[in-house]
Amino acid sequence: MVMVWTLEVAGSLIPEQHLMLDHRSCADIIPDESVPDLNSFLSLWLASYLLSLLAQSCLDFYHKMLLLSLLPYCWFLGLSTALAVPSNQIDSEISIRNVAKTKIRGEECINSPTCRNCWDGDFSIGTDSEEEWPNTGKTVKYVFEVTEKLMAPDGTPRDMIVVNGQYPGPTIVANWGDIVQVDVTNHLKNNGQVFTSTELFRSTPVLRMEQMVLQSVLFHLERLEDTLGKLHSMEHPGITLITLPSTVTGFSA
Amino acid sequence: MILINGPAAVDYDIDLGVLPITDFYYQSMYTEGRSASGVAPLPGAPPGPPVANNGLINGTNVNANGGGHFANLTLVAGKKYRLRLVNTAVDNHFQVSLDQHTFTVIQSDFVPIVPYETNWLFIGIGQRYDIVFTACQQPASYWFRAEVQAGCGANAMSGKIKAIFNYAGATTANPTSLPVKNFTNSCLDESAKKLVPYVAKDVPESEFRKSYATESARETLSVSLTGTPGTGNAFFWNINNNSLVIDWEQPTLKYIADKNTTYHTDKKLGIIELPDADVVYDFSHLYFITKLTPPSGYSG
Repeated sequence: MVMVWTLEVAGSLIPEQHLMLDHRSCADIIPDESVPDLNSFLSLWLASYLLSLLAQSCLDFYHKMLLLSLLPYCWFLGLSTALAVPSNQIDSEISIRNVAKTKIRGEECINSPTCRNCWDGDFSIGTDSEEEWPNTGKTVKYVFEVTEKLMAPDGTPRDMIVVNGQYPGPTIVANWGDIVQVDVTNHLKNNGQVFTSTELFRSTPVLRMEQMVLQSVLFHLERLEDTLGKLHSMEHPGITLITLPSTVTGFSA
Repeated sequence: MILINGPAAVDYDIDLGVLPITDFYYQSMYTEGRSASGVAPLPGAPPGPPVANNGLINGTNVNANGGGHFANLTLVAGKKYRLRLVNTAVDNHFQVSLDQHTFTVIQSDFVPIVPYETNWLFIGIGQRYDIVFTACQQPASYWFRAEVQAGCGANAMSGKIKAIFNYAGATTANPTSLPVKNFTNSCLDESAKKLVPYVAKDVPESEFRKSYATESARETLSVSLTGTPGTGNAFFWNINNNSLVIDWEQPTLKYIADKNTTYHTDKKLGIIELPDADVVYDFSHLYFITKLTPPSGYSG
């Protein structure tokens, strides 16, 4: 029995012109880590000390000039280092959140270990994923073979129902905006049912049934939006097709 | 398991992927289910949710006799990690923690949230949380703990459901680490005050003004839990006073394929009919507000 199960990680009917809300550079969004600003503190302290020396009248002209010539340097050093890291005074989470919603044009905002809130330049953590999502045009395909197998996850043997002979089951990996297609074949000898079509599918259409005979179901799940943002639970809907046991976490979790 | 790459609210170096945590039973679901409902009790087992034989983290754990092995993840000191936790249990709620490390929670059920920090994280059945933590401790092995919460799950190996997070180069012997702090037993979700969506969407006020109950009783779904322990008819979740019972050889869609209209009257199928055909129903604004009082005597 074969079931083709397709879900779209973000939706196919993407408008041609989506809003360019989150076009900004990583540097605009990520505040620097807070670092103790010893440099600026010392420089400003030195400047103050020099000023206090200047105030003393016992210094000769030469020394006064020497001190005066040092002052601008200290002020410059102190102020510039103090001003260079203003973000360490801001609550980083709040500032990230606000800036991520701000429209800043210019540099691309590309996901990287230090720019995780960015995605591909057009989308980011600030994107309302119910309204817009990337259109990758890519379909990620998986083949699931469901079988019975004697396994011992904790050393105690028991019969299990597994996908592709492994437990835990395979992980479906996709990018935001991809379409995921899973072709499932039920090889169970003693159990007819295999799936709970759970949670992945938002609002809609859920299923277009193309073929339906006992133990052989072919259907498509269409236009599933905003998977980044939400995977709504549809566990135990009236449409109970097949039930994957909890051993296959991909579907029932 | 599902892993969807996308933006995240907090930076990290390495995505460790999905880490499933579950209860584990030596009997089949069929056997346990019949025992739980009182139809065919296992020797010594009272009706009601069975006590799990063990718990598994990433599909493995040590059993009561010392068999099996702990799940083992390797960390590189100084790196920041993302971990996608999911509770795939049937009946156990967990609080999880990594000894001597703090979690930053960034995502709840696939919804990015405003990050917050915690030492212990409550994960209900079917829930997912993505967390970020830094491998910032002395290179060694540390326990990752999944503690079953009394009152919302029972497990024969409670307190021993663990995995090992091992710093690269450190000893691979079982950790001797201690919890960063003790957890307070709880059956409550993470506080709603902490679970603030990154992109907040307000429920339209107009939706609240709509009183479904007076418009049509059909649109009101009452959720309840029935059964009395020890009576042999325990623990059925009901919607509209009805518990879903499906004959696996006669799935609901097959009625339609067979043009068999008896599904209209068969309550066990749990079908909720919508009044008008060819109308687009917008379920995107469907809110459940439930208030549940468990029957007295219920525990576990």
